[in-house]
Amino acid sequence: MSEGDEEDFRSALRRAGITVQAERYDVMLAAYRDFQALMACLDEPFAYAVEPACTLQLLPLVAR
Amino acid sequence: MIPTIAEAARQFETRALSPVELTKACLARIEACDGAINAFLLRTEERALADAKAAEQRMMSGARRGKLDGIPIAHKDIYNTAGIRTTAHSRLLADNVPTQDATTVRKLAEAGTVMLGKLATHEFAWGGPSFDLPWPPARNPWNTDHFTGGSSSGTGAALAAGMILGGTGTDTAGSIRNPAGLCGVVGIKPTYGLCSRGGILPLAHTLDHAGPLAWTVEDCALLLQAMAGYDQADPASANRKVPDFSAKLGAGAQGLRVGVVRHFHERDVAVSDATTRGIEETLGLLQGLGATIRDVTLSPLADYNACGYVIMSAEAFAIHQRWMLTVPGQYGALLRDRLALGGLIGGADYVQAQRRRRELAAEMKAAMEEIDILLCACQPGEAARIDAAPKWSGLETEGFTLPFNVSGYPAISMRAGFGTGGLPVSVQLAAKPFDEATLFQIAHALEQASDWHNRRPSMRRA
Amino acid sequence: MSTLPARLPTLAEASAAIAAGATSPVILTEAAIARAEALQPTLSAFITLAGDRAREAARRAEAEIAAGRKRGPLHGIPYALKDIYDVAGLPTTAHSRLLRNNVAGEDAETTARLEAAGMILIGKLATHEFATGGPAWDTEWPPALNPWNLDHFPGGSSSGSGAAVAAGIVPMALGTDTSGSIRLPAAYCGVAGLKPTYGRVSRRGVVPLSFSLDHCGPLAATVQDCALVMQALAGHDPRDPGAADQPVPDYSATLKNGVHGLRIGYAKAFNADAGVDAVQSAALDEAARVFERLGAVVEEVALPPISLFNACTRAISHGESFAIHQKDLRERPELYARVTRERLMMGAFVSSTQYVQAQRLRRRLTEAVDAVFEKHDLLLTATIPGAAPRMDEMETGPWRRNQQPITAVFNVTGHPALCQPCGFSQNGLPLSLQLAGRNFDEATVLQAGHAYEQATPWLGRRPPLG
Repeated sequence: MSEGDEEDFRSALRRAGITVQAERYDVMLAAYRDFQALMACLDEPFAYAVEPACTLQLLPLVAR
Repeated sequence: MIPTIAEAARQFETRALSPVELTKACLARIEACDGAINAFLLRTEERALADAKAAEQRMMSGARRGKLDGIPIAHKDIYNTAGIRTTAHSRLLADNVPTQDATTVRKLAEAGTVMLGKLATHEFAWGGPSFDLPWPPARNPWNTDHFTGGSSSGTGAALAAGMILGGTGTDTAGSIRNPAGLCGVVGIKPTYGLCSRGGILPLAHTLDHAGPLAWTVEDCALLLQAMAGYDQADPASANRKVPDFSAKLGAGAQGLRVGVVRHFHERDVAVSDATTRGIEETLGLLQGLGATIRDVTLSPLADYNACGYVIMSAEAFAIHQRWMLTVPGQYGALLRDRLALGGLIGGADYVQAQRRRRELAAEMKAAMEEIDILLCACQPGEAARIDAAPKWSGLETEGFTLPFNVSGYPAISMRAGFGTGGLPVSVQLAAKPFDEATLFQIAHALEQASDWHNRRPSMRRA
Repeated sequence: MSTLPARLPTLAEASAAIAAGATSPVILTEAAIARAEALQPTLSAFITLAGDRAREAARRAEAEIAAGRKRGPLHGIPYALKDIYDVAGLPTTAHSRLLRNNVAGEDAETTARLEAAGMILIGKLATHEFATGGPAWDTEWPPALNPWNLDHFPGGSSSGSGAAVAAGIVPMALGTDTSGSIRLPAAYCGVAGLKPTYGRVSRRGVVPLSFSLDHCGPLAATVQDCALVMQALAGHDPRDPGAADQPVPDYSATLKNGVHGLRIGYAKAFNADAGVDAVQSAALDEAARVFERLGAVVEEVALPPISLFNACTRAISHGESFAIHQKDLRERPELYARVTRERLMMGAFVSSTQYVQAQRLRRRLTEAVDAVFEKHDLLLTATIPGAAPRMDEMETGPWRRNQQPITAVFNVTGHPALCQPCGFSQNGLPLSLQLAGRNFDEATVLQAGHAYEQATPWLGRRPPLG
């Protein structure tokens, strides 16, 4: 992993306004890296029309 | 003079006009005017004449399809058209030729409409007006130094200039209602889910709506009738029976209960004098028509705006992520900057915005329990100069249109007079979900009670 | 220690016995309370025991039944709730110090439905903190243990629900399921657990974890009992924004129709991709053969890679739960158990793009699973690789590398999924299969589950608690 991703990790925590205890820092950083590795599959391009699922249904889409 | 859709339909019926004559008149008008307006990205003259001849033959043989048969229209260039270039006004899709029509394009064609071409938009319906794209932005026919509003800019401009009788637009944050209002025409963002977005390039899936623009309310009702309906290709499409949108045209406004969201334009965001005057005159007309008027309070416009802007930016970036990472230089600067901001939004911010959105929609539902129509400002004022349009469009000042994308409620933009330099101003009316018929009813009554729709741009540079 | 009070009968048995006058709501309720109290030191299944409330409700039910006003098959039968369901007047702690003093003002929709059906609430059950962080030893209440072996994990997050039903304290308990939290404790504790279709059962009044993945549903001793209680739970609730307004069938009417002619897709390769080993795979092969012997047509089917489902689940659940907990994570993080705090913090790393892309991927995955259901009535998979791990081998860090459940597939897609026992591991712990069906077709899922249950001996096996 690059140095840059640790910076990303810290800035994500800073932005969220949350603090990681010093003794848990390495554990959380490792988890962050595991998470980003899992997310890599989300980078694959989707066709434009692929719409998010489970977006809010504010209105009844089916008439009673 | 180009007729309205309803007028043309009547003239077709009496054989006072033929679809081919009308189409040729439109093509001539485009040829004469569009050099100054830039409403068209592509003219499809051969296709238009073929469509018109086919319509004419149907009329001769007694097989007329309805009031839209033989009516020349054009599509915003994010609507896919089979075999016809669809660019989204972007370098990235300059050579994109879809193989299938968008569902609404197909439906309008099946209703017999004549396709004149593809209309200017903001790049991918968000980035504009931009001067660093392969095509220039459309200009306002009321004064070509001024902005049309966007992103259905070409549709608004072509209608105002009398080049088309109707056109399609899309509305994610106001992109139908803003060009309609600033170009002095009528545009409706229908209820979320009423018109399929199948085959339309998305900007932000959960806020995108497809809908028509036209010169009159009645024409919008006719176009929407053809566009509406369930479509499996759109996951948000509503599986409901489509009512007759023209059923209550002419029924007046007697007894309709109208709620005015005054704080939007009196407290939340400042509007021009002409806009205030237009709202008050509209309210006066409504009272004269027998509608009852009361004040309604919603959350501040800033709340709706924050919620909608976060959702729009985040979803738009997700769609454009791959190109933003690989070929950012292909975008115009304006869209690139707007998209980049979307890339900075955290997951929790997006989720919170969707949660807030549900509360805002519930608030609107509650506010409308005892009224039929909401009335509020549509734009802060007359169209800005085209070189002075806001960069972020939504961050500098809140928009009046976004609340109805956030809630999904149907909203129409219509004329409310003229302001500085003779530029049009507008008001916005909204109804309960899937109650477009009442929205058309009241808007039609208002239109009939005023004469704003009789004024056309002179098409001369100010 | 005196002799342990007897196990409760199943819902169906209890219902028949009440109808026959062989037992009564008061007898059943006293038995449930006695067994709950006796086993609490061993299993820690309960957070709150509501004995007085239960006794009063039992007397009322008994009087109503005696007066000829029986409300239905569930009337007078004890049950318990995962402690994230609201019950008016009782605390809802979510197993968390943050909600230690949180007393509900109103029943959850599901609670109200079960109360209306005349069921008797015995108490509120242990969970993982906020249905996510567990097992944890640094909260106010200990984690529940597995009745089959107290050194082992009962599954989570509806841990108390799985333990209490397996231990025969109550015939049925409600759990919630965001990535498997009903079905995993059902699997590890050797009972039946149903995650209904998204929108089938209201979630109003239940502490949310991830609103687009959260489901409410039952854990019960038998599949038939799941069907009985689903009849009361299912239905539209306009106050749950995710609720679906769909007709509710009679689940018992088709329960005994067998599986003859049903087409079952067996996701054998998918199980292997998810880490199911040879022993467990053999148990599932045998289950597939049972279905064939019963007249079903079983064919192997392919599903998208499990890693895609995992990415989808993680981005969405972390993103959504963080939105709920961000303020507390900032302002009073020390009140969470460590494992809860760190898992919730993972949400800080989800970008809006990842969340939106995950929802887009979700649609594609749902379409892929829907395609299987075009040709098959049911989908057979494993529940999770392996049987219940030892408590002291549980991963309690912010990120689980192992123990990835297969259940999350159907939280992503929303399809109904039932888990039930299908054998035992070498160390005597239950193994489980998972049957999923088309949206809103719980009836066929339950029908097949019941047929399998009747044809196999697993129902007769009880945990060695006495």
